[in-house]
Amino acid sequence: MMALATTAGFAQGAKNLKFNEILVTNTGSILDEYGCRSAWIEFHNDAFASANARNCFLTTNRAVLNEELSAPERIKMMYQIPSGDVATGIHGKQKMLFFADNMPKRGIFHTSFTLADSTENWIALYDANGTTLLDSVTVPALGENQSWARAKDGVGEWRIVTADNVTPAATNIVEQGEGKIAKFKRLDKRGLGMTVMCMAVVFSALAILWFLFAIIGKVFANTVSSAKKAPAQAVAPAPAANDGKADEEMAAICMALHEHFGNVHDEESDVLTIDGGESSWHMLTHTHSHPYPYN
Amino acid sequence: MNDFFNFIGNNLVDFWQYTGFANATWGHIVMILVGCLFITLAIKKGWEPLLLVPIGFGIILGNIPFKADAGLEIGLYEEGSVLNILYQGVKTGWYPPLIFLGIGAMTDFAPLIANPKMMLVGAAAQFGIFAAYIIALALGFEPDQAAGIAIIGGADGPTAIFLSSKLAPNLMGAIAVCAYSYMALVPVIQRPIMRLLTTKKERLIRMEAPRQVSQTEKIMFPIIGLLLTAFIVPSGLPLLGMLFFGNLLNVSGVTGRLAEAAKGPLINCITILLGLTVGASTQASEFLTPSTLKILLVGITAFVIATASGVLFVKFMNLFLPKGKKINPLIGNAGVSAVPMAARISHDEGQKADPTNYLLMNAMGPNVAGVIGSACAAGVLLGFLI
Repeated sequence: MMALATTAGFAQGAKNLKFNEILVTNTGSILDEYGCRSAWIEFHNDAFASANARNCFLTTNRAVLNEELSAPERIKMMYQIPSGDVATGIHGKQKMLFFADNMPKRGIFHTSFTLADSTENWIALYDANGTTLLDSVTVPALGENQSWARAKDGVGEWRIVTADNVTPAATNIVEQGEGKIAKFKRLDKRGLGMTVMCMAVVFSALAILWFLFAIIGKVFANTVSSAKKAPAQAVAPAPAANDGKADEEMAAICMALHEHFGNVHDEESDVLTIDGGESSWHMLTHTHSHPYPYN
Repeated sequence: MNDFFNFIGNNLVDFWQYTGFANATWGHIVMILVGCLFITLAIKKGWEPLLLVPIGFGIILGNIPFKADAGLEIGLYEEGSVLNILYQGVKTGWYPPLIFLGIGAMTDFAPLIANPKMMLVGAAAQFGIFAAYIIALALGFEPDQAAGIAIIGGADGPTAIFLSSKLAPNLMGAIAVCAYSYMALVPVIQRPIMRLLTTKKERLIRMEAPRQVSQTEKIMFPIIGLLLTAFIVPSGLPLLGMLFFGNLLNVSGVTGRLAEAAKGPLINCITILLGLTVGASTQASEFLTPSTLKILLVGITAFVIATASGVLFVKFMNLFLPKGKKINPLIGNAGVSAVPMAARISHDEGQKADPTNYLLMNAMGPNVAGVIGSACAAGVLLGFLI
């Protein structure tokens, strides 16, 4: 029961949710669905699997760090992300955006707190039990439309991003470099580089496997009884030490292969007939080594 | 009364517009004939019937003409249709690893464990893949498309589907049909090359029968094989993992029921679905293009080069092997992963030169090495291009 209760207290995969980008003073960045501008907080799901933020808590109140507080006392100081809406689900490596506008009635993505302009803000994400801290970030004082963002989604160092480069609900890395395929097309037009690299890798993998099993084979070859070894060549005379079984087996295999591959098996008509001629197959004197005791 | 007849007449006209006769094009007819040809080859000639019958029927199924804009939800490419749902296993690439599970359970790696240098022959034959990559680039394909096409040279249908679904999804139907067709034609393609590249003296070389392999070695092989190959080529994990897992089920001695399921009902079901949906994916509008002709050309060249590479590599190895330990170059063709067809061809050709020479078990070594080699090659290409 306890285990069940504990499990129920955690949001599905929420431990992979990380703060990714925060903008405090929004005068020229993204609009919410009401056409208003407000501070926003972006999460990133750092896993490849989906996660769900339902029932998790967001807060800017450092008082929740007091470990002596009970869960109900903490919860009063936090905004709980509502359950019952599919929109709280986040696919792997995707983003979710919350507006910190103190208008929770506007929808699940509107928190019950705001962020303070021109000063430091501390933001924390707690799991559905209200006590497990999933992630927290201290945002320094930022200028208008500047954001505090990780250099790499979910894991990179934090840095200030200028107004022109903020990326709400999108990846923080905006690369416009040449893709792998384009590079191959430009630098390896004939495919020789790819051929050499790939053959080297395939050969290396199988050569290492050969090397390992050559050693293993030497170790185990001694453990396999020499009596069980097959003769050097299927049709060659077997060594005198063999008990004859191997010869018979090999002969049977050879015959079968010869018939199969040489297509020399006789054709059967698939029709059973009874020849009317007399035969002595049923005579007891022929089928029994001893005559029946006729009494 | 007149209205009634008009109504009936209009309905019959509408009905006619829905029929295959009204919507047929020459492309549909050509593809249906191709499907019939596949079925004929499978039944009359016995060429890979387990593959060509489902693919052939799938080609017919996928090329039944109908009114595409009628919203009937029956076409393979229509979201939510039955064929589309079955096709997801091909499109998202989860049929091939399941096929590999069955192949692993059916494969006996003992000849390879007994003579591990045959791994190199399996590796050498993969040159067909990369030579085909060069040719495909020369024919104007993009690097990712060229890689998807080149994998045909591995003579491994599931691997070809797996890789092309990732790198060249728009060409996957043509690549899969090409790979399976040429696999069925392996006896026709390989024999002349083998004879051309070997002398009578070489074809007479006798090889020692592989030693008996212990149970422990058989169990160690899939575990070590997986660890090593997957560490080097992690992108090939779905194929390599399932191949070695299937083999472990078979050799462990304690999972007989699982092995039987993998090499029996499971692989049979997946083969049916794979063959049928791959066939059905070759709709005339997608298949009858100049690209398909190029793919067919690259594919056969890849098979030829792969066969030649294996045979020539054995001859090269023989330069360094002492007398009495030389390898019959006829087993070089088996480095492609068409199991066990390629090994049977080695054996047949060996018997033609000397009816008392049995090469089958020796040829199985490079043949199963080819399966590992082609899965590694697919992983490497995926790793470089994704």
